[in-house]
Amino acid sequence: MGSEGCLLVMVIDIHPQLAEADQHAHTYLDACISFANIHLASNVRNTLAVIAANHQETRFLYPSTTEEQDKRQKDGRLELLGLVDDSIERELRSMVVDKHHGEQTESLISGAIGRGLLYIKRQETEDILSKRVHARILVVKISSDTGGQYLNYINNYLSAQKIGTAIDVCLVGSDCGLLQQGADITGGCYHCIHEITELLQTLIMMYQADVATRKKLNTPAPEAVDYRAACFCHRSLVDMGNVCSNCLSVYCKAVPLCTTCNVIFQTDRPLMKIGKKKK
Amino acid sequence: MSMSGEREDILLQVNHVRYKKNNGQLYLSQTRVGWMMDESDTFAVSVMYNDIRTQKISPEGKPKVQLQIVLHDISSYTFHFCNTEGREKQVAERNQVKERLGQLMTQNRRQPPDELMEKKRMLDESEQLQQLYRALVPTAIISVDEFWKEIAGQYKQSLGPQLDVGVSGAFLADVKPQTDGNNGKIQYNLTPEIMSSVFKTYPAVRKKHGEYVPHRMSESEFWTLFFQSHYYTIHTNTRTQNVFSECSKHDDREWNRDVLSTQNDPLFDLDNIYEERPLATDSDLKIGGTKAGSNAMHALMIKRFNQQSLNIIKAQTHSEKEKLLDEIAAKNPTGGGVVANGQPPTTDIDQPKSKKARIEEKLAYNDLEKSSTTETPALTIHQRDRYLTGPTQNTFSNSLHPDQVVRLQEQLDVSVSRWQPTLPNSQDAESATRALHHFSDSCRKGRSAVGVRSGGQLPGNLHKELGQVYSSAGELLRHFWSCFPPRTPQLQEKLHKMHETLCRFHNVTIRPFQEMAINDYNCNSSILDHLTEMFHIANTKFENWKARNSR
Repeated sequence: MGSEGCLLVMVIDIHPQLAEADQHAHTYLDACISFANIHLASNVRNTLAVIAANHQETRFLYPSTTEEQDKRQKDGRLELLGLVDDSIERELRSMVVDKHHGEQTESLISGAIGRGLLYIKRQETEDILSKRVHARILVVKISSDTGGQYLNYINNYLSAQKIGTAIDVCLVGSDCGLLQQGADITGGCYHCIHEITELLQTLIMMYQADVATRKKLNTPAPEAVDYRAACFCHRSLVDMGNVCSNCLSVYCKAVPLCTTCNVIFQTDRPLMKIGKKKK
Repeated sequence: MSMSGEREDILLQVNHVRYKKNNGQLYLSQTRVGWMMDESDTFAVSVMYNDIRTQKISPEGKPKVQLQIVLHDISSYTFHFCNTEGREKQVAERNQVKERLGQLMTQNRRQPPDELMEKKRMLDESEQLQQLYRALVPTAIISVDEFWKEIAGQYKQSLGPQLDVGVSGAFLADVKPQTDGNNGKIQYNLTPEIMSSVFKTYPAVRKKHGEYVPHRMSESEFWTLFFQSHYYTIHTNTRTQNVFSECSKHDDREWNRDVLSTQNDPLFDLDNIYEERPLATDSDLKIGGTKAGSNAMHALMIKRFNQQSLNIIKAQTHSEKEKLLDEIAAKNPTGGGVVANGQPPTTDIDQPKSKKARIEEKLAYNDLEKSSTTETPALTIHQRDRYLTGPTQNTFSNSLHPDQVVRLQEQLDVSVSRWQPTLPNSQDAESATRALHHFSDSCRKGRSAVGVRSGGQLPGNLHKELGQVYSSAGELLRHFWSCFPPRTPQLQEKLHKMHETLCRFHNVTIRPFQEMAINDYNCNSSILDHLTEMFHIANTKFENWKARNSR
């Protein structure tokens, strides 16, 4: 908690899977809003942005793009916090009601992270003095499948690494290798909890301090990240494999033809001759 | 004591040479001189050139024609030339041997000191190199020649090109003459530096030096003439045809050429100097104009000073170009034809560039221009899903069907509509304590695993020694890995050698170090784990490559 504020971009996963655990959906949302409040309250210079993602869209919950209402303080707490809470609640309700029918079943977390990075960059350029903004991204996710978004995730991670933004990940449920890699690449912290009721406590303990402060705290040591690629034919992790030089698809053994981009590989072995037919 | 055939070719052989009253033959090879008796086939006398201090010949009047070799330890060998064809032949043979011996002696003498000095200098300059040398060579892990070839060679390359020392502006003035009071003789002290400065500044003098010395006149005569010539004194004896009168004509021509090129340069605005000012009054002209031209001697001196300064500057800026031109001239004695690097030698440099081209050259910077975009071919993907999924593990269990998602969405809608954010109740105490327990456990686990591996906790000396072991090991491993992939036979050979070197290093240095670390310092035995792992990986790679190659 330095004298400079930190911009926290929260990416919250509002995938319909949340409805499977009924009361816990409320706990989940409450925990997220509480954490946003804690962040703003801990340092007067902290700023916040909240992006929600489900399988159809990503939307900025705060700062809201729809209406600006100057509400006066009602119950004696900080006006900003009240504003944040109301904005998040309002946008969330309208987002959940919005229904389209699409083919996408996965959460658009990668898109949300991308929007978050753009928001950070925009804050930096809009600042009068063009100071460097200390920013980090916190991803709270409930589903663990990343679907067909590998490229998007990797692009996000590398961009974040380039601008020095840490991506922290808090998963509720089972482990996700891709997000773990991302946290490792960008210098963030990865954690997975199994009970949704422990969410807020975990968020406070692990993610409330910003990156510089974490080094001085006694945090759990990061586990070794498994960076092994999975082969495209069996989807099993391999230590050594062959890679197509055209499309970078990974195969566990040498194949003469890449099935993703239809490129023929030149091998040292001569092609087999077809025997002559005897009449 | 036999001479091996390859390294020591016989350069000169003289028959009928007597040593200690025995007939035999005298042989001169690349590194030593030997004498063999007529009927035997072993060398009775064999002396390396390094050991020879000097050689002497018997004076003209003596009946015997002899050659004596004196060694550093005062012992000497005397050879008597007794060719049956007569004294003249003996003298001729002896002189031949003397000359050849002299050459070979200077050759062999010059090489070792310089090389040794240079090696010493390199070791002194770089402490890292010195450490590597001490760690690898005395323990016979890597031989001396290999060390200098591989490791020092890379270091030398990384040093970069050496810069030449320039010519001092006052080099001629620094040659302070000393007058000998009695005879009016003037003595000049010349050092090799002054001579090389003169050669660099006046290439014509260098040519003359090459022509006249040592055939027609000695060095001291040449330099005496030089100092009497127009270069050094203003009043020259122009009547006698001097060595340097050609030089003076050459210099005059060059001076005129330089002045002309400066005058004709379109970027210089020199009109004011050469034209008469239209509104000049008489008084102005008196001060500036006429007086300068009246005293011809002054003008001449000024011209000589200017020319010398210009030559000094030219000596520095043209040194690289001249070297290149000299090389080209040496390679193509016919003076034309194709040059190795593909550029025509002198014509392009001499052509005057147009004014516009020169201005543009000064304005444009290549690296500020936009880089040209290259066209890249498009990538056609035939299986989009696979490409987008990437090399990730498939978790089929969690993927949902779109219908399921729609159903869940309805549920979520209902749930959220019932939701009232109650922030004070967002975390209950029991779950919080559970989370805290998990957190503390993982923190405690993380702390104990760190242990002694951190370098800061090692006792001081061990730390430094470990660093040294790492740096030598790292250097060897770097050479090993740079051999892959071994496409050429030299690389394969180097690979084999490096593997042997690594094995030796492992046995000689690493094992004792590990034992010492455990016994003396009572250290955690995992201190060298990383290093041993690196060696393992290198070994496995080598074995795999050998197995694959021998198939």
